[in-house]
Amino acid sequence: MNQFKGSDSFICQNFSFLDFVPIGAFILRNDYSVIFWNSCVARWAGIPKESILGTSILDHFPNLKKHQYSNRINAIFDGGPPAIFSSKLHKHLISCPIVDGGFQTHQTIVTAIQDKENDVTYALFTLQDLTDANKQISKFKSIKAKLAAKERELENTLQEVNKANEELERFAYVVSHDLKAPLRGIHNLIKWIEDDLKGTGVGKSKNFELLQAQGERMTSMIDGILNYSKVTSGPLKMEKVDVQELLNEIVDEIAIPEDFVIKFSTQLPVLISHRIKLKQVFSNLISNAVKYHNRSNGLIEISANEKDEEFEFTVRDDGPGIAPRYHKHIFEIFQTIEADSKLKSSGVGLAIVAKIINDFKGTIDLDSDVGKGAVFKFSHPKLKN
Amino acid sequence: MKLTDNQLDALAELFNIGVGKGADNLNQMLDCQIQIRVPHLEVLSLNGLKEQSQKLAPKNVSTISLQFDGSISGNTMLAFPTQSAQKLVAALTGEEPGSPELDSVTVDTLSEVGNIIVNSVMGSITNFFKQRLDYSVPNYAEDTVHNLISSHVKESNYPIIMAKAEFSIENLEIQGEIILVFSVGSLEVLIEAIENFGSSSEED
Repeated sequence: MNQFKGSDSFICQNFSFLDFVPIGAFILRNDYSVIFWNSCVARWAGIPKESILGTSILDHFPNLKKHQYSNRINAIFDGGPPAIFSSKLHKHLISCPIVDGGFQTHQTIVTAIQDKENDVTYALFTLQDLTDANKQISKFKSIKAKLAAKERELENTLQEVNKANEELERFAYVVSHDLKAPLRGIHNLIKWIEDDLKGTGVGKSKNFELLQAQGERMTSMIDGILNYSKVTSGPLKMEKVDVQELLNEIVDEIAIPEDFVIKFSTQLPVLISHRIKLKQVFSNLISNAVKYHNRSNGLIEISANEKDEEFEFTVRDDGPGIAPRYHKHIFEIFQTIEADSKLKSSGVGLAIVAKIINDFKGTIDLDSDVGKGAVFKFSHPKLKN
Repeated sequence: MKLTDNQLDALAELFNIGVGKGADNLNQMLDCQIQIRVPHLEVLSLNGLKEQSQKLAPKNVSTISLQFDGSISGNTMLAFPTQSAQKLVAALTGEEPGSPELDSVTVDTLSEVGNIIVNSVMGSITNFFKQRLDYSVPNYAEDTVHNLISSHVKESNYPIIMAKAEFSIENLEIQGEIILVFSVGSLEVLIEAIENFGSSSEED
C-alpha cells in the first residue's frame, strides 16, 4: 500500500515493479512532488523512500530548479516527447555519492506518463549508472593517447635517424671522394721514388714497402666507403628476378678456382627484388667464401627455402669458419678478421650485404665456428610486383 | 502526394523553426553558439529515399529516432554521419574527437543532442494540433538511413520528408551535416493542419 490517493495511488501501483529493477527510477507529479522512489535510487542517493515520498524533489536536489532542467521537465508535464540527459553534459542531475568520493554519472531519461482518465501527467525518471563505463572509457582514452604519443615519438626518432644516416652517407661519399685525390698524389710520389731508386742501386727499405702496403690499404678502404655509401636506402626499383639465372651470371663473373665446387642444393625461386642489389648480396657472399677459404678445393652450397611471407636463402661453405666472438661485429663496416694484407680486404663487403638486406626489410644471420665452415642465412620478403 | 511549392516552403519553415529552437536550447544549456538550418527538403518515396540518402550519407550513420502516435503517427529520425557526430560531440564536450568508432559516452551525448533537436522539431509540428501525441522512448541506432527507415516504413509509397540540415559552431569554426527524416502516415493531415493554422491565425 502507498500513502497516495486517486491518480497518484494508481500510478504508484502500476509502476511498483520498478522496485525490482537495477536502474534508478522515480516519478514526479507536475508540482514536482515525489510519488514514487524505487529501491535502487533510494540506495544510490542515500535517501530512503519514507524521507522523500510526498516531498518536493527540489528540496532534495535544488539544481533541478535550473532553467536548463526545469524547461525540459516542464515540457514533459505538458505531454512533450521524452527527454534524455546524458552523463557527459549533466554529471549530477540526481547526485548519488560513491565510496571513493565524487558522484555516480548517469544517463537519465524522463518520460511522460499520462493518466488520461484524470487528465494528469506525471514524469517518470529512469537513471542508468554509467560511472564504470565512463571510467573505463577515460582509462582507455588515456592509454590510447599515451600510445599515440609514443608512436609519434618513435616516428620522429626514426625520421631523425634516417636523416642522420643519409647525411652520414653523403658525408662519407664526399670525404672519400675528396680523399682520393691526395691519395693518388701519394701513390704517384711512391711510384716516382721507386723509379728514382731503381737507377741508384739502393734497394727498397722494409719501411718503404710498408708505406706502399698501407697506401694500398687506404685506397681499398676509401673505395669501400664509396661503394658502401652508394648503396643508398632510397626507393628500390623492383622487378622479377630469376635467382638461378642471377647465380649463373655471378659464377661466370667471379674468378673461382678450378677445383672449387658451387652446388645449388635446391630449386631456386623467381622473386620480386632489386636485381643489381640482390646480385651484389650473393656476389659478396660467394666471393668471400672463395677468398677466405683455406683450401683450393672448397665447396659452396646455395639453397632456398620458401616460407609463407618470405624466402630464406643459405650460402654455406666448408672454409676455416669464423669464431663466435667475431659474429657480433662481422656485418659492421671495416671489421675484418684477418689483418692479411694479401687478401686486400676493405671490410665493407658484409656491411654492404647487411645494408642491402636491411633495405629489403629482411634479416641476415651467421652460423659458424672455427673449423666448421660458415653458413650465412638471409631472408627476403615476398613482394608483389 | 505531390506538394506545391508553397506547401514545401511551409514545411521547410516548420523544420527550420524546429531545428532553430533545438539549437537555441543547446546554446542555452551548453553556452555555445551552434546554428542549425534546413536549406532544403524533399518529399520522397522509400525508393527515392534510398537513392537520395546514399548520396548524402553512403555509410552507416548514428541516429536518434522518436516514434509518435495520435492525430498523426510516424517517426522522426535525426541522422549524424560519423564525422559530424564526432565533431559535434567534441565541440560540445570540449574534448578531442575520438576514434572512428563511437564509444558509449559519445553515443550517450549524441543521444541527448539528437533528443533536444528532435523534440524541438516535434514541438514545432504539434503546435498545429490540438491533441497531445504519444511518444516512444527515443531510440539510438547505427545503420544506413534507408535500412533504418525501411524497418518501420513497410509501404513503398509512404511519404517521407528528408531534410539536409547544416550545423555550424561559430566560435569554433566547425561545420557539419545532419539528416532529418520525417515519415508520417498521412502527409495530408499535416499539410491540412498547417494550412488551417495559417488561415485561423489570419482570422485572429
